Amino acid sequence: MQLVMTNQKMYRFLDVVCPFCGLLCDDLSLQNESDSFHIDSSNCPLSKTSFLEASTRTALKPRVNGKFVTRKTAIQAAVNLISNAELPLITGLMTDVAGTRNALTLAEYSHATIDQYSNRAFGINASHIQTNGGYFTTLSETRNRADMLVLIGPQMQKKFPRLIEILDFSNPDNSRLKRPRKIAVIGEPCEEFATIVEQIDVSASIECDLQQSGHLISVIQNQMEKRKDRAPITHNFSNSAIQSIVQALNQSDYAVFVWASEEFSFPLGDLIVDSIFRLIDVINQSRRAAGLMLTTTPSTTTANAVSTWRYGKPLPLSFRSGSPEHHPDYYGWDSIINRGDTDLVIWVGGLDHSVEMPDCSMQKISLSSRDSENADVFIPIAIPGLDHDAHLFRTDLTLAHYLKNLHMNDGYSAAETLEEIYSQLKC
Amino acid sequence: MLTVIKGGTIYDPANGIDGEVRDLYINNDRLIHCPGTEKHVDHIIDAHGMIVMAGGIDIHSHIGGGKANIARMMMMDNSVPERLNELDVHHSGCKHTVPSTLITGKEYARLGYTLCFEPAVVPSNARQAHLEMADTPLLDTGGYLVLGNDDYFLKLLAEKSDSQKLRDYVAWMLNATQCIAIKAVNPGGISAFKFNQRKLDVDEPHSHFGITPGQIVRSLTTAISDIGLSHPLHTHCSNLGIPGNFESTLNTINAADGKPIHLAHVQFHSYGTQGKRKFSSAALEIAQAVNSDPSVSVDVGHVMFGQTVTISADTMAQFRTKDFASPNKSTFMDIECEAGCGVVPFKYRSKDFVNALQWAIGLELFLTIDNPWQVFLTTDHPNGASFTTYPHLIRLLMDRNFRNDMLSTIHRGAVEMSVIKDISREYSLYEIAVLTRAGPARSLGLKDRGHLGASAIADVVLYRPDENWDTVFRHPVLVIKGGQTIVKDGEIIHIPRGRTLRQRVDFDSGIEKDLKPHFEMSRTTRLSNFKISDDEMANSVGSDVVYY
Repeated sequence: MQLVMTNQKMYRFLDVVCPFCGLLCDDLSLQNESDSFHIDSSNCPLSKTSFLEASTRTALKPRVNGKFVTRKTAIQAAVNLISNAELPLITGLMTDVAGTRNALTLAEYSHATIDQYSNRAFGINASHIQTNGGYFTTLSETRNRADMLVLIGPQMQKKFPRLIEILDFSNPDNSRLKRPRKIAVIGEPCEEFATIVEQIDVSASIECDLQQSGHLISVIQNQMEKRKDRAPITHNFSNSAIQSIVQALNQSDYAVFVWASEEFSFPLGDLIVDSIFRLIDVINQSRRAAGLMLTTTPSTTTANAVSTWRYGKPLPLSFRSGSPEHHPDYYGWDSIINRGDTDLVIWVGGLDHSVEMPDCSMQKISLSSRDSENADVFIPIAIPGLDHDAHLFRTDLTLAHYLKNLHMNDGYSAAETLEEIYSQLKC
Repeated sequence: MLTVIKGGTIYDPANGIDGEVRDLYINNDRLIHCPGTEKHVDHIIDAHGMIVMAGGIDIHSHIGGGKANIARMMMMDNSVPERLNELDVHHSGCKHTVPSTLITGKEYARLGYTLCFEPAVVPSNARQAHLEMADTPLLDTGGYLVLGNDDYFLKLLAEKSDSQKLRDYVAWMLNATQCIAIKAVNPGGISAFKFNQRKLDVDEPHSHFGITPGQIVRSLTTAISDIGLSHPLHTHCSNLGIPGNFESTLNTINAADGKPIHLAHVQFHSYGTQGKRKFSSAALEIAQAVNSDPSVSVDVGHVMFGQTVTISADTMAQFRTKDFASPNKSTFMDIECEAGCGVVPFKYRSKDFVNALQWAIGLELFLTIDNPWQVFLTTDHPNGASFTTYPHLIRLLMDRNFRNDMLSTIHRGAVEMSVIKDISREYSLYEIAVLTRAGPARSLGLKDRGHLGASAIADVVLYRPDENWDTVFRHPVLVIKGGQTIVKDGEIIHIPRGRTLRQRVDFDSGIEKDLKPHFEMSRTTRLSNFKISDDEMANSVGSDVVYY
């Protein structure tokens, strides 16, 4: 990130990283004018709205039981609640590497269970890696080499508005490739995607309920393997569209399958990921192909990366026994709340601009950049990358960005607040 | 704070000390000359009868970065929770083939190691590697930057760019990623695999860029020499694991044109095609090449029997071995037009001919390379085995009877194909100190590491002699890091944060004029965001940078 002063009252920030989706686009240009920040380099609706909202937010004050208190009092109240809790749950984790590090330390100290808010979707991919492995690729690799893109679940375009642009697929005649690029689309189209489709060449499009997409992918696999003994064509899939995809895959040098596992959050949705990787495996016997998994919030990839290197396991983790235990279904934050298996919910936000702390009957501590009226203890915190330096991991699990402080607001980071709580708990 | 370690038997090859009884003086974090009798001594450590060496240095161990994390996820069933209960530190972790960060630091410290180098830092993954290593306490760390498969470099080479530009690019990348050395992994081969080439010999052109691995090695060794890096090109040669690949290894040495070159995990690159199984040892051919050329060094990448997981940037080689995965799963990744990653679990079996011969080849290399300064002790953790097997490996090198006993337990066909049984060499303590301390420090240009002379960092290890060398090296009595005792009788008693070691390099910053449009056009990150600063390392990553 670079800072340019345009006049005495206006600043311009260049190469700013946007923390509001997993792509972590880092080419934004921000203008600071009259106490608000405007993006003037991108038409991404998500980042435009999010930066504006973040820069115009009102200052929040700590509260205990609905009454405004000093930060010191709020920290002490949080410490008291944690000290008395038997089964604390830390969730949200909409934070950066430093916030995750300290949240994990607090979880271990207080024998808590810890999970990231959007982790159930990420768990579909993590589970596949654990049991089978797979073939993966990254954004630059796709941008430069993919001559065939298979989008499974085009609704992803809503959550990753610049996906096609970043992958350079709005330009079919990429000079770096031998042949024009092709796109195939599987799933239910959305308005945002339809706009893009008008601009690019979609070689095949199969509209279907995403729950059927696993079967469809198996059909494509069988066609590629020229197997007639498995999975007959059903669900009224268009045979010609399937043939188009098969033909395009057979001609491609590097096919990339793209999905956001959040789209597969239905029973047996993980089987779709299995079928995608089986198809990719078949292609790799003679050509090259890989999968590009998308994760909506960078804090999900960040939290799981830190958890895995610190404890050898992704989230969720439970320290109830004193050692890290990983049982995704049993220790998922929503499962724990639903079965009443916690007496204290500690919400760690920061990048939680679009999600709220879960409404539940347990006692609640909220460390957040947005107001949490239903929390017993509320301690406002800063937004990573906007109010303080931060490390966040991009959706492809490879690249970690360093987001330099834009000084939008003062305030303590999640890491600092958690460190204070931990220090007082130890006393 | 003045500490004296009294009466220990010192093995300090960098200063030519071979088993002499001496006192050592530590002032704060450094070793000093005897300060004279008038100075007040704060702390006396009785080392009479003890073996004293500098802190161990692992020159090649995969301890950080995305591939390690993928391996952790894939091997979760193999993990065992581990705690550091003896301290007021509420950190635990998991002990398995790729331990979690805290446990990695703990296990290394308990073996007397204080410095460790991650040998495959992919440029775009450098930040993660440093973040992970910063969370690995008790160890100072450093990284080798993987180049030679990145589009920009390959394009420069294909366009026959001048050597100054190549040099500036290499130095700029090293600086931007806070690394200390350059690594070439299957030069050009990872990139070629992305273009669907499944094998690439040293003189075979890349199908897209039209250049050969030999050209890449030549240009990188030249650039490294021009930049003035201490450590030579850290080379993972072409054709890893393929029978007959010793010729690729010899060709790679030749490609360096007499410039210094380091061959990483050379055991995996010392295979012949003799015998009825068409798999044989070519360790003697490799040893002969090393013995005849002092500019060549190797680390062995020794294999030990048992479960492990192989992790490498060499997707081409890893893809080749995926059918041997045990358990049957594997992960591959094409990364940012720079490199790749392959993670394949593997179980080495003593009764399997190939695995047993791999084990023997590693020992043959250790025992037939004459000059211990040219060979370093590694298992290519976790690829050949966990670093926790080092004491066992040291015993194999120091105790011929034990070695022969072990030989009798492995596949007979492998024994017949190996010359180990005829080798009587036993490593001395002095030579072990070269392999594990003095040699790596000298190779990396770390003048205040790996020795016990005045002004060295006070990383000191005390071992209790025993008939069993495994016991000696597995249970140091005392481990001192930077003047502070971190391990006493096997217990961690202090957990210092590690630092990142790197070398200062100069380059023409004008290279950024060319790189900036490359980043904007071909990469998905901006140049200004790609660079890792010293401030970021110290304040956000959590590891201060030390320059050499």
